[in-house]
Amino acid sequence: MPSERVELLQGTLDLIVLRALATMGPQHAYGLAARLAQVSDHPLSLNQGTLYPALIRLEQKGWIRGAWQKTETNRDAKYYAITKSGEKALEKQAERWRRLAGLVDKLLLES
Amino acid sequence: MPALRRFLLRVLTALWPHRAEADLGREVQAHLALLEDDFVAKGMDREAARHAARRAFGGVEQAKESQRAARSLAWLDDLRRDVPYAMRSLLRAPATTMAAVLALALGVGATTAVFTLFDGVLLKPLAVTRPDQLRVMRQAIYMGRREAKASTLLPYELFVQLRATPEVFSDVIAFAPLDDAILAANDREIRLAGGGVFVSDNYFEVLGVNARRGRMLAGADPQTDLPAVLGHSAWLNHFGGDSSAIGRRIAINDAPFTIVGVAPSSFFGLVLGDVPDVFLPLEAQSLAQPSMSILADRRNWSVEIVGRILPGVADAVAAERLTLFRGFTRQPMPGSAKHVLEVQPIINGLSDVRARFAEPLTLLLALGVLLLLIACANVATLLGARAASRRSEIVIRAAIGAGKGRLLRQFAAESLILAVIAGTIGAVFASWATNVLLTLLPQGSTPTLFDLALDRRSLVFCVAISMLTALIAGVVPALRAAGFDLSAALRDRSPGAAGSDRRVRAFAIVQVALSVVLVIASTMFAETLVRLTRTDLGFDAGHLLQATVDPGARLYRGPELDHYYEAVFDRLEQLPGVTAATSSQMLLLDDGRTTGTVAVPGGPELPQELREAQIFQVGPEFFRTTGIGVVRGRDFSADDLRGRRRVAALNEAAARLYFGDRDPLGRTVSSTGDYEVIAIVRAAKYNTVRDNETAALFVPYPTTRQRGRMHYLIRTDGPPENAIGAVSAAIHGPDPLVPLRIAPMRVFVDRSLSQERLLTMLSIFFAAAALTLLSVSLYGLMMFWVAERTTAIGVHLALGANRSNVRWVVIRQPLWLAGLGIAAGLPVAILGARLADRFLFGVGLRDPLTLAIPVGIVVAVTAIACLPAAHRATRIDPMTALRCG
Repeated sequence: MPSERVELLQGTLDLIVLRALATMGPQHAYGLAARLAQVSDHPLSLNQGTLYPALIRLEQKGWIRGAWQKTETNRDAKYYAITKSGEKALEKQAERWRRLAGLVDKLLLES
Repeated sequence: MPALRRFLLRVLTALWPHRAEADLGREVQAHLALLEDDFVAKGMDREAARHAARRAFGGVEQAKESQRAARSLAWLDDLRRDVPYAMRSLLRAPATTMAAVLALALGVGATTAVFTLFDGVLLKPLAVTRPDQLRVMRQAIYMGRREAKASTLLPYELFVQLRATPEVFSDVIAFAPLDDAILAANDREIRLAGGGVFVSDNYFEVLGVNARRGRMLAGADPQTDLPAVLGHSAWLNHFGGDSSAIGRRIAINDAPFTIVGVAPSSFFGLVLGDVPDVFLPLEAQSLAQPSMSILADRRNWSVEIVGRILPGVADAVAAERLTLFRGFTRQPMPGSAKHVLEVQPIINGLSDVRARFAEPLTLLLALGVLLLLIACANVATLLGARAASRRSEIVIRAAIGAGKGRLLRQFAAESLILAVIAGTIGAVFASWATNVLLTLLPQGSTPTLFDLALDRRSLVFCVAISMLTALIAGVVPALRAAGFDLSAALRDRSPGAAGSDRRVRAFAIVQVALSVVLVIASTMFAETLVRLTRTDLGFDAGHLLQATVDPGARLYRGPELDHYYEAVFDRLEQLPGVTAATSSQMLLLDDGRTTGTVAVPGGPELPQELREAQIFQVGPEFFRTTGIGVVRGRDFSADDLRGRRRVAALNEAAARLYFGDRDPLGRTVSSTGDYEVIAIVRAAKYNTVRDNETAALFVPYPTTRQRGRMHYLIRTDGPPENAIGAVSAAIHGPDPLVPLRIAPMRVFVDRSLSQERLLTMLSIFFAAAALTLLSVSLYGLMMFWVAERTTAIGVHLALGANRSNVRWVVIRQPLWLAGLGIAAGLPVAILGARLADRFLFGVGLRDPLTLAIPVGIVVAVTAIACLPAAHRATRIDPMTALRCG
């Protein structure tokens, strides 16, 4: 298991969170962090300093919406769900990322 | 779009953070609870799980901070906290705050008021479309290179021709004034103070002025009454600002018109100093002004012509290309005279009077800026002293993490609050002051009206200078705060050395210096005014009335005029209380001037300039009526006017000039004809109180001269004011509707001195304000100083110093400051006096008292301001002082 943490740029974190919420459905912040760590086999370790601001950004942009609900253990938690405009934005951002990744790949290959 | 949505939400969260804060807290708690549960699930007990959760989460406050940063805008957040803090901190020192606010308000208000005037008279462009394109045509006669005569009056025919073939203009308009307008409306007759103006039909269209109500003059239906447009203030004053005025039928000088619209409030025509009450079509001119007809006598020089110049055409080129003008010049011109047409820009309006106001207004603006600087220095002193006494507070804030930027921002917030409050008060004060200043502006013979009020430009100016001065004044304490040595300050328990801080004292010195300048200015202007008022005018101003009648405005012509004048004069002479009466072509002290060349046939050839003298056409017994002393010879009599021999009187200066030592009596002088000299009279001030002695020739005024206007000078037994009623009634006897202006000589004297009065009053006001500000800040400063030295003074007293010693020690401080300030201010004042020389009269720097008195005043004010502090110092009880220190 690689021990380095992968540093993330703001834009890509937004993309990842949107994608996660789109596929996993509504999550609360703790759950989201845990799931992401699971799925990526732990190189993606988000501390509160980066995840929460990302959630706030996305919520202020109107791409996700938060609502207070009870968890299975009957605790209060704010669940975030992706919105319609969020889905649209996800598509656009994902496309942009794919194009960028493809371009960087190509450049790296050539040099 | 999402970015905008985010920005707006961030602003909202910054301004109203409570909901977001609550949410944040809740979310963190929730997160911690979930973590706790996890650890419990892994087998820890509650307690350990809680601690483990906390550790796993990381720093709670840091997390909250990063969330806040994402959630709102940092600077707005700070501002939200700074502003209430600044308010509280300002309220903690109410005296200082109030003094600072009032000082700023005074400085800002006074400067804004003067600026409003300055701007309105000198700077503001006309309220028309593209005023930079407008050009006025001006005809001038040059003798060689000297301009002998100039005027903006041109023939109507030229306007007609220019309109057909513009040559250099895209459009031309013409207008002519209507000085005397009597409005008949609602069964009342009112004399319109602002008069009217006749305008060509394209006037408003070319200027791009749209009606505030109704419509402007344009092609009107000739079947109905002629259209008239009301000036805005006339609409408010005479029609109550009521929309029903539109469509109403009125009469101007007995000619019927229908009101079709109201001009916007910012439009006053094209002439600065005129605010016409009514705009009438040029075609109607002879109906409302029967004494002449512009349209019939097209070649008379009777209208002013303004055009919009084509882009890219320079003024000089335009003047040359206006070949149409040559059809109107007199050919050939005598000697080296040339009659030319000039084209001049009028971006801020035509004006004869602008020059008269330009200089005093510039001087006033300079004085106002001085006052503003004093206010600024005053506020800097006050805030600086306060900042020094707040040292411990600032130091603690710095110790717990406030950076320099943060501290500066907080001081800036305080300054801005001061600026807002002071600016508002200042704007209100300026509005009032502008109106007061308008009444004080120097007036000429025809009243100059200005429609000046606080407008957008002045308000922008007000806001700008209040922000600027507040920030500058506030920067001083900020600089001091930023330069604090933290550890030393924490150790030192003394309250802070405000009174002896160098920078604070420097501002006090600056205040003294500037105050000295203002006080010297005021004493010099006051002395000028006093001297001018006491000047011997050469005639008896205390028993003289001057009146002007205008029968021409009421259709009088030809023999009717003669009958009218005879009737009026008879009644005047027979009035009890009237010692003598005479007529004249000009009024005394009216600032008009008619010069002509005088030569002595057979006498020596004098150079051009010396041959000119003022020529006055006066009626019988002119010298007896005015009280001008007849040195030799006799007064004019009624016979002289009817007789064959033309006679004249010379004043002493003219006699000396043209005849030297020889006796002029009985000899001939020639001007527009030959005259026999029958009297030598004393010199007098003819045009203004400041006149130097000039040569003057008096000739009898033929009564049958067909002029529509006549001036009368009336000598009364008692005070002239008491006779005004009777004289007016007498003049109105033959026809009560003939326009009449009458006033005692004193009014003309005052008017002639109005500039001096304005400067004196304002400079005294500024000086008084400056001294008040000075004493307030010195008082505060010295109180601090004494408070800081309580221990030291206590020791002095304990060791045997007596009370007067202590008092002297205290007073010595401000006197030293004052000394430095005076030394700094005197050279500035002296320089200023040299620059403003033309405003002064008989006042020079050679007289030591001129400087000694103001200096004395400043020293006295300084000493008095510090007496309370000195007194407090003497009341210090050595025992308590030593114990507390």
